[in-house]
Amino acid sequence: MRIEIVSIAFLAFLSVGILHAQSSYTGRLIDEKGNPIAGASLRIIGEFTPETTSDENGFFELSSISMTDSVSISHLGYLTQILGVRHWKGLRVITMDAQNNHLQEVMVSTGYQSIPKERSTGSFTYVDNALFNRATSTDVISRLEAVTGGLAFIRKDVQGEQSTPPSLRIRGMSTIFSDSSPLIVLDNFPYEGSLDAINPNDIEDVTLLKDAAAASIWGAKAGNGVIVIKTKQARYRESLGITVQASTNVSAKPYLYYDPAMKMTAASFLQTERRLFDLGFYDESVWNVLSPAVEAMIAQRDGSISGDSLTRYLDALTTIDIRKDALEKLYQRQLNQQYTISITGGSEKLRYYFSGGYDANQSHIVGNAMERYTTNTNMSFKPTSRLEIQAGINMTALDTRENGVGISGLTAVGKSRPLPYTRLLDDNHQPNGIPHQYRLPYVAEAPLNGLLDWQYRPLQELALNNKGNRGFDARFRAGGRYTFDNGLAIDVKTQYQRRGNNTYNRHHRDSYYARNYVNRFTQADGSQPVPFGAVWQGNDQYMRDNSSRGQLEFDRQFGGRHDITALAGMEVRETVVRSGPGYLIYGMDEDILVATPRIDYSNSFPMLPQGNRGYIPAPSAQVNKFTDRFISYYGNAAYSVMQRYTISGSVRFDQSNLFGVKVNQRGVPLWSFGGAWALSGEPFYDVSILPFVNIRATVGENGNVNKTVTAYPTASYGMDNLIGLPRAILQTTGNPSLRWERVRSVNMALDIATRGNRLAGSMEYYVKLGLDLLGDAIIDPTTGISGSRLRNRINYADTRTSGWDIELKSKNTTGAVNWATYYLLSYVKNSVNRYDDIDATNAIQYVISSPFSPPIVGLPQNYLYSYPWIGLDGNGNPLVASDDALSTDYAAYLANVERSELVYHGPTVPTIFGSVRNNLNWRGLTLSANISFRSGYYYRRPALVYANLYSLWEGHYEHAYRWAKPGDELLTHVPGHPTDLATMGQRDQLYQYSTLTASKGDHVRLEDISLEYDVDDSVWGGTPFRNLKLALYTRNLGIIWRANKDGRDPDYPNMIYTPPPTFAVTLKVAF
Amino acid sequence: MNVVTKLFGVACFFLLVGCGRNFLDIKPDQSQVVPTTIRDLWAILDYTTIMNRASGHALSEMSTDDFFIDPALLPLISNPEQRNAYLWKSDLYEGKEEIADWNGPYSVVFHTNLVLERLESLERNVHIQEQWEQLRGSALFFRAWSFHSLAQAFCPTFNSESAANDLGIPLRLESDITSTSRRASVQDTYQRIEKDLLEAASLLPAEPLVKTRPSKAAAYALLSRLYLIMAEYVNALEMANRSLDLNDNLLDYNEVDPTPSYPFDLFNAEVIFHANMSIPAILSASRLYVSPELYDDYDECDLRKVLYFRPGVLGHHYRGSYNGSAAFFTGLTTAELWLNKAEANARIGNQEAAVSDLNTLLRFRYKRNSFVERHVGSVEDLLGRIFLERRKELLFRGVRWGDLRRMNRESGFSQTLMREVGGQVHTLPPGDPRYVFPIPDEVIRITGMQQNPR
Repeated sequence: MRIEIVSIAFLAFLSVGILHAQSSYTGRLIDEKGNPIAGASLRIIGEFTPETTSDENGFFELSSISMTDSVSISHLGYLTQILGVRHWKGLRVITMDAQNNHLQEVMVSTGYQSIPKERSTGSFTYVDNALFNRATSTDVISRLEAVTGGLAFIRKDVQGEQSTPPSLRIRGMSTIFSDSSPLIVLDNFPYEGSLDAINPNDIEDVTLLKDAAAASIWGAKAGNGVIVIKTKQARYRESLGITVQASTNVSAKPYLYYDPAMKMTAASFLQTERRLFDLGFYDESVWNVLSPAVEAMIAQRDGSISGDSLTRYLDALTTIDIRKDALEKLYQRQLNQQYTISITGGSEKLRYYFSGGYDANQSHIVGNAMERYTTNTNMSFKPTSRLEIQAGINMTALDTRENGVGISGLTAVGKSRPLPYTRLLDDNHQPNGIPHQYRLPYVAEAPLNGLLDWQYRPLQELALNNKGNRGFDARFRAGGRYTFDNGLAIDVKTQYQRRGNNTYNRHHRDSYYARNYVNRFTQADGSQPVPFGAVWQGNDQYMRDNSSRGQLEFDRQFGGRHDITALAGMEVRETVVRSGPGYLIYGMDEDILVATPRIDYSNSFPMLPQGNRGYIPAPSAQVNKFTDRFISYYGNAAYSVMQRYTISGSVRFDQSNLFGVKVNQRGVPLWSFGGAWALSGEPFYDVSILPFVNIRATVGENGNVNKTVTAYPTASYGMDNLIGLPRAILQTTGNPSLRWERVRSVNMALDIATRGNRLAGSMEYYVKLGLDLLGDAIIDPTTGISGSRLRNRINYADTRTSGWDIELKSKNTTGAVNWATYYLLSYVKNSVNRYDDIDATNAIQYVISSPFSPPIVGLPQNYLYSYPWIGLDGNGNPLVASDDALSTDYAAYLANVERSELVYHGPTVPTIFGSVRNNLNWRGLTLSANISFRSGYYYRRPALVYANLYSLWEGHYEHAYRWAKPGDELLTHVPGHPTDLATMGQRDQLYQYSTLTASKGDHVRLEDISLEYDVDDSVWGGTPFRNLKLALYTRNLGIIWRANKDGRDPDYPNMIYTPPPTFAVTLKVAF
Repeated sequence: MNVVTKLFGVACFFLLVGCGRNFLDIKPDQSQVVPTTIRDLWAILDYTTIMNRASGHALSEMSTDDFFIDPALLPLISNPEQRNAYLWKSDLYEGKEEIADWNGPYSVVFHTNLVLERLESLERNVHIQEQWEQLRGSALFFRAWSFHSLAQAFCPTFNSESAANDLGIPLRLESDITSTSRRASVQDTYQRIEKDLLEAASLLPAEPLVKTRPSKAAAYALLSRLYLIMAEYVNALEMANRSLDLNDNLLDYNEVDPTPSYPFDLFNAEVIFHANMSIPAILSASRLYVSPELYDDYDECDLRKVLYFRPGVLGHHYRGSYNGSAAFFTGLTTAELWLNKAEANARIGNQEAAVSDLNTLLRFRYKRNSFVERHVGSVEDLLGRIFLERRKELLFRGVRWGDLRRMNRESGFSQTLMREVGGQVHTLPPGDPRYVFPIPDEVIRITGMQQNPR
């Protein structure tokens, strides 16, 4: 009933002022190269007239057509066009676009259904197989970087040298404390855990669901957007094909000279140590590790070496640069090899895809490696034309080894960098012992005191530890689909996933780890409660996931004008993760694999070197088991009239086994609504330069699950180490008025294409409101809630994120040389709209905002504030302005400084970012280069922090430019050595977090270059292969332009080195 | 076709029926509970990291006259309140927040209030009656224990004349975190502690399962300490006697092996209730030196001179903690009770008994056969003797600061503390407002409660 009203209204609207004369029209269909298209079918929309077809020269004639009509022109392999005939005069030449290189004509998958993108109202970004395979990598996600519109890779928090995966953001961040990463859906079901187990060569395509309408089908988990990944399937009636692919990816050695801390020279460092030694700075307890230089100074003071030999010794140290040795002995070129074989084929009733893959990666850190074996099987069987049964099995075995030493392995316990003059080899070219945990003389005399050798020699450690991880992952999928006559279909899917993960850490008996334990527990009488032998540790983790879904689908055309697509269903999910208790065994004899069974865990022993009593670390007596359960009901429907007007809507209700909440807090209803209008399909539309215009808009609400909040107080059981009884730690205080976090979003989009698709693309504007976001409210600690133990978690903030996503493709030349440019541009603006908390925060917290910045209404969530920088005084101390006077009373300044006195820079995540990708194709040769840019953000560069230099051995090359004598304050901003060690921390802070160390992040980066040579028999003829492809690919090529002058890569300001450039060769042969 | 349709129908039906409401009743983390049972409540009180190790004696220990550190190292102490407490500065925190001496004990208070409320909602029956009473007694004891340590730090010492008007500490008696904290009077503070302890004593078992759990003896011991502070000496004596009736074990120091770095065992026979504090940097085993005049007060044949101390560069380091490590033991011991008893006896005129109490303890502290029994002198001499023995026995136990505050009430025992650093002399005269620490800044800011004058 309602449908009729809507269509009548539409028709009435269209009829106004339009003549109803009937006449005939002629035209000709050609392709992009001007060749005629024969056999295309033309149909007047909404009329039951017989179809017209074009003749062999592409000509056609339409009769009995009124000026209000629209014509649909379609042909296999070409994009269907709908044209109004109102301004159609004379012979009209119509260019049809080949389907495969049109931006619009894609089937986007939501994980629940596949729909033609042109009929959807929501916001999707589609990464097709060719684009996905442009890059060479071991993993899936990195291939999406800088080629996927609206997807940001944020690395501002990565530190050190391990390549932690970046956090992904689709259209900004709409939560504060809950998980902000997008949901990842693999083969129709949410994927648990890291995607490392997936071979990227098995991936067919990737779709990003960005707005409420696209993602709403995923309900309470879709607040951060969804990444839908599909694995490869064969087609029916496809002849047998075998594809073999091999690729090798090599990197340069990491550039250790990037680290500003290790750039401080040994001479500078020694100078500092001398100064501190003279001040009596060093605690000479045996358990307080000191550098060899300071040991030598102590020895000279105590008269055991002469002043001359000390000078000689220190001079010799200045010539050492740990980075050289480390690069030679501890780092190497990364070498990743990947081999995949796949077999596809299909008959009338059966189609199958089978693949096997092997990856062998050698990390750039010597001793770290990874091996992966994957198989993937996808089969579909059609016993009747109405029924399809699908089954798939994916299995992965993943083996990683982490025995590398790297920079972190050279760093003494409690320090943050190795000493610049660390030597890996001694004078006799044997592995050298370096300062690690206790003082060197104490360590050196250990054997004389009846202890084992207590030296830590990094080069020896390389071979003495066996640490790694063995994982096994299997997914079994099955499903069936039955289609009825009337457009109805029933679809049932189920998946069982199981993962086992075994981490192990075996310390050889000669490893420092094993020797250290024996020594620490060695008693005055020489007895060894920890027996000499290898120490083996390990843990098992097990995960199982069952997901099932049943849905009823309806897809039908009525009267040639009305299309209805609808589905409704239910989904049940359970994920169980169990880990522990693991094992810990001492005194292992690795020759016969027998350990010492009886260890005294129940008595405390005096321990060396401090002499305090302690227990031998015992194996864990605890098992963790986590269960997540979801039940969801969902439905969505889309209705189009004449392929011009589409409306869509969806609802979803999610319930989960949230703990400690009232029953009615377990679920949340979520919804979306949208519409689309194919403007260019209107009869009155006649802008020949823009033959395709489509307008879309959606609104809706998604959710974000947070399992850490409860209505009642909850506690978690464990073992109390002091008394050996079960203890319960309160986890939450309980807040009865808690609500789910919701994300309400609005999306408005315009899709256009110029004639011949010279320029085609889409522009989207969105607003996302994060509502009732959870956070930790500031609270009077007298309540008992303080520190990190217990928090006062309430719904306390709203955020607003708005922005633009623009994707554009331009065909610059066609013909023999095809040159196309792809533009991606995103703008995202984020601010906190509401923040229900007392403003009791000390202003310092706005500056030192890592890892969490207290929300400020009107500012983005991730912001950068600095202390104003005035300059240095005549003693090399930073000046602060308190009460209109300059002083160096840092304590008073920091206690009283207001936010208004601080300097605001801006957000710390890019607000404008995108890429320009050029593809140049000539015959089988394709050259492609991608240039990305990020802009509108700030980062904090590392600076010289004296407290870190003195206590953590982490200096900064700025030390060479520091204030050293009166007058220098006119030349430099780097403070001199502090004279008052008590206020050193506050003084450091004023420089470290000053405006001087905040830099603009804007930069342009050459992401990658790929060169492909694709030979198929049509080009050369007579090759034994169906297709042969050779691809060269290089990545991490560096920055082309940057706004900052401090030489930092704004994406990796705090890392010891940036990812080294890589170069890959891939050969792919299809038979 | 019909068969297939039916099969699908059946499959869907099972899918829908297979999951009812109880599908969602399973716990996401199996070790997680909404604490309701007796076992859960015990487990909360057995979390020793909070209940026994957040006792909050750091500021007061840093302010006592029992130690000094190398003046050259003082500037290296980065924590402002540590440096400032050592020098009795007016501004302790310099804007620093999260003061453990305040937050730790109040965290204990929150836990105990939660346990007390949960106990009320438990259905009581004969099977759980005993456990129920012990739990209530334990929670009351822990709360009183925390209030007591807060009262020694953040409000003036008890003075019966002004107690009703002196500002005490906020007495939080419910777990509801939305109610505002207000300061009670010193009198109310002490009355609450007394009332809770008396009830706890009536509920608690004589022997605890482990020494981190409160017992009857512990409640009486704390009452005895409390009554000394309140100058109710008859009660102090009574409570000390009651506690010693339950447990009067003393360690004979002749039998303690001095060779380990830390000679005393955790949970040794003298311990009635175990508590310890983590050591601030300024009190770390290598920095802290015992005041020379205190060290010199130990006789050569006093075993404590060896068992409590080890030599260092500038003097002697401390190693006598009943924690078996460098961390200070701050719990209750029988030794303290003998001293409480001696003082109470002396105060009420039983000088002979007082001397005998003192001798009982000291006999276990001196080398065998070398101990010369003390004799009765004047009451002042006797009390002076007892205060000295308290200082020698209970150093770094969280007691000295409270004793200094008590001694300030009597002109005969009050003294001005002095420290010289870098040529500058810092003093703390008797009755100075700096004997009361300021309430943390953020508490004042959030609640608007009245700050202590400094």
